[in-house]
Amino acid sequence: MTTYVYGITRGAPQLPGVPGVGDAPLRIVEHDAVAAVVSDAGEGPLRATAAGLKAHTRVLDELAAGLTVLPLRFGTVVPDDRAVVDAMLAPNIDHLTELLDRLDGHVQLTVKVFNDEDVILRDVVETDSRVSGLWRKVQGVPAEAAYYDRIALGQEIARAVEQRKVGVAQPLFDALVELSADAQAKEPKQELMVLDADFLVPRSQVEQFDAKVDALAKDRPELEFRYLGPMPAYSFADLVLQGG
Amino acid sequence: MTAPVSVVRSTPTSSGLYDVLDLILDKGLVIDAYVRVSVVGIELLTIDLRVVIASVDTYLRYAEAVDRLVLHEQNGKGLDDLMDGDDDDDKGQERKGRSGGGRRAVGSGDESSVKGAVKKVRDRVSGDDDEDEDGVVQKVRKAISGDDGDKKKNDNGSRRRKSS
Repeated sequence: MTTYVYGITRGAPQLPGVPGVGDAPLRIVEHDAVAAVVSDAGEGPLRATAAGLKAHTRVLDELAAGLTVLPLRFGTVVPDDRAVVDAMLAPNIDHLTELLDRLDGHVQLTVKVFNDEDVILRDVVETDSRVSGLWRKVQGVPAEAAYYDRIALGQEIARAVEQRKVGVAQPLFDALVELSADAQAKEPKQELMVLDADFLVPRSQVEQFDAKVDALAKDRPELEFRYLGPMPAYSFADLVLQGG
Repeated sequence: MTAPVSVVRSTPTSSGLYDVLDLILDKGLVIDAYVRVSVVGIELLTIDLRVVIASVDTYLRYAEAVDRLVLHEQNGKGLDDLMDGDDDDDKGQERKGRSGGGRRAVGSGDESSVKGAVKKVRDRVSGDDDEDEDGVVQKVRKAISGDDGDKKKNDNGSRRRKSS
């Protein structure tokens, strides 16, 4: 019977009343001052499913609501409970307690900001001469016949959209960093995305952070904000445990 | 006009997962001796999350999105009329789960757009609560990366509307 590991806490936590991956009940494996929240994972390979991802996330969300938890990446499975202690907790106890201390009392909040597609495209078509020139060229021409012109048009739009992103993210990020203990901005992974950033925020400042995000969104009604959290400090617990 | 804008914070669980996939899969503690060796499908999903979509497909989607935008707005008017900056189409329609009112309502129900492709992935990931099938990762993977292949077969955008 293999063991699925969700996260590591200081001392044994109160287990949330939700099932784990594969509907398995949650358990605790303790060692010294730390504990791992785990469940049975059965034999054979574990499949990455939407339900599994959701279960993993839900367990960590629930845990993080009340205490500091170091989340493991989705899909961490070890041979048995003994390996949890021997390969994870015992050899890394100093790093783990240090990280737990550092993250104590903090949660992660994630802010993603997007250009509104309609607003940005309208702006681009109206104000970018290269785009509007190409746009005129394809008018009234069947899409198949204008295939290459349409690619050129799209390419110009992509360029213009990128151009308009310049300078948008930094002031948003800076304003939010002020309320954070730590922060990191990631490379935007979608065309319309302007900012994708994770913030480590003291629990006591979450409300202030909410207000700040709201104020920024009010200032920039042409942008769409997606605001996530509180969650375990995924982005600030980027530690590689040396297995024993 | 003043539209109330409020950004709702949602937990990863209630967000439908798509927005936190990169965190769940790519962040957090790793144990080097057992790097997810036994999870089927995870590497593919992780790799695809790193793909920045920039392709012919993206360009065609943009071209299509502009067509639609302009068609919706002009009602027979030309681009020059549009450039006069008419604001009478500003209905302030609020989008579900988005930050804003006071936003142009054009095409907001239409998923055949750049955003639509992403939304499709999000729908797939969030799925049904009880969804637990082998194919999910493959579907997600396809939805994230696979518009390219799809596109060549059918270029009219209708495939991006939610049909499943």
